Amino acid sequence: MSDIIPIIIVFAYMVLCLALGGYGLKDSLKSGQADQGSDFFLAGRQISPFMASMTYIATVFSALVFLGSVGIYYNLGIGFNILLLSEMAAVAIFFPTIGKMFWKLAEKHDFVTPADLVSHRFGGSSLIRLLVGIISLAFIFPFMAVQIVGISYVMVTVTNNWLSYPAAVIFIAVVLAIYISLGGYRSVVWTDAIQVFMLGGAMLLTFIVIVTKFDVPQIFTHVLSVRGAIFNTPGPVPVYKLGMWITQFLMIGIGFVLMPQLWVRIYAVKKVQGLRNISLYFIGATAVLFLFAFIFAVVCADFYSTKKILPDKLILTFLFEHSPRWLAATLLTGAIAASMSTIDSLVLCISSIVTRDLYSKLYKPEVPKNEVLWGRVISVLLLVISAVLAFFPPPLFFGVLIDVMYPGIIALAPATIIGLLWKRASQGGAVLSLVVGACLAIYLVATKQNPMGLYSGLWVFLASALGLWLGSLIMPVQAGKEYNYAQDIAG
Amino acid sequence: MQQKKSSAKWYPIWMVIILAVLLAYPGKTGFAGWLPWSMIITFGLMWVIYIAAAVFAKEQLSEDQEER
Repeated sequence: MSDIIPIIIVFAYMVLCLALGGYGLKDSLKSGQADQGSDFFLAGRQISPFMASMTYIATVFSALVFLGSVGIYYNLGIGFNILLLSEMAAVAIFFPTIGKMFWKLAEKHDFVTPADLVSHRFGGSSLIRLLVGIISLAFIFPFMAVQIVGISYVMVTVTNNWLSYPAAVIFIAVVLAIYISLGGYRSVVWTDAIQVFMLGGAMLLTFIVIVTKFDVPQIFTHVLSVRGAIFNTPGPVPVYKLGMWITQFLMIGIGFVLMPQLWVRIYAVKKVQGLRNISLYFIGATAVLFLFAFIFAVVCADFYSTKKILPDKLILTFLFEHSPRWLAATLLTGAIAASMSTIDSLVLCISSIVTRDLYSKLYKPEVPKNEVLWGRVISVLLLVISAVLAFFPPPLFFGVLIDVMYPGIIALAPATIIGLLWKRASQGGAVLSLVVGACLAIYLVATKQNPMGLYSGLWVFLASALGLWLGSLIMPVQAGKEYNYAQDIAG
Repeated sequence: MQQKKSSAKWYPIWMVIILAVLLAYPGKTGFAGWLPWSMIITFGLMWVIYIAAAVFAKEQLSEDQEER
């Protein structure tokens, strides 16, 4: 009996997601714009400030928060907080300034993808569109595949091996494919909002279970003596040395705000004030949820510091050993929800990049009607590929984010951000910047290097910025054709 | 012009936050209670960023009243 309840809970949640997919489709048909790309990919840019915040948070927080962050705090210690501090500071500064510029430009020119904006800034260049599309795609794809790994771990544990790992991977991929292809962004926004509350509730309940069942102050005091490095830098595995700490603080936030799936969320907001909601809700939620995650990591360190358990599975193991099965299953459904909300956004975003940047705008500019159909087909295809990749899980979830995704996305920063602010940045400069940045990012990611002990993203940023500057000097903008943001949004 | 001025006065605040991040680095475990210094400093800093962001965003975005 106790094994059936978790299965019912998980399946009920999946049915809810499918129902919301149907609702998204109905809503889209009602809007009369169901055949428009901007409706399928961005819900017609009519997302209210509150829902925009929820979908932003849901997209950021995935299995990484519940499983990954506990694992990484346990492995690398509190130094991991630099990632959060960097993301928060970047969001706080970026949203009211550059984010506002993004929003205004998107509203004016009907942008759907990141490449729409960058290519527009540099005179509608197809080459720049292609480069931005490829870079976005190449570096966020591994992150999407990792998410399915996270959910499948949880599904197998929750159902007590009733679903095998391969069956869990396929099951999740099918549910996602159905609800994403039904309602597109409209479905995703609704499921995201529910998923945020499920994740928050699950973490809060887990916290309550822990503080009511254990003497937390006693655990902390004990862990200070047996694994004190958790509370210190550079940490148990000494990653966070001073150089790494500073350079991650400077760079990670830039990669974060430019992640394509988050970038396009700026476009979808109905009013510019919605940007304020997004930044505040995100920063507040991060501060609360990761404090919980850190406490969970300390508690797990007390129980498992002498046992060999995959760090990402610590909290899973802990919950099933120390709380009733039905409760553990309910809580972990929150982790499933968190990951699904991230994958759906990634799928939709990548699908829009492939459909628009790599296909429709380059080869078939005259057939925008096909965009939604293509969007659906590609979404399903992406999930199939991710499911296949999920059979090769990485050692640490957050490793993928920090070591693979951010360095690549940072290559977009100079052409995008400096490009908007520096009038004389030229098309040639942007191409050079993107090519140099992406090549260096691929090299550093492939060889797993952080030269001179400084974060790889810093070198990518510097090389890419140098490329923009040099390229703009060698191939300057014609006199009188400099980019002017104020004129762009006014004219 | 006014927009530029209001942005400029925020630079020192962000500089202080960046310095605070650097100071948080050594993260000494400190007193032997159950709340080590490293935890108080880094999680506390998150709330400082939150408050700074709230005021900054309000100021930068309140000038725009346009709706779609």
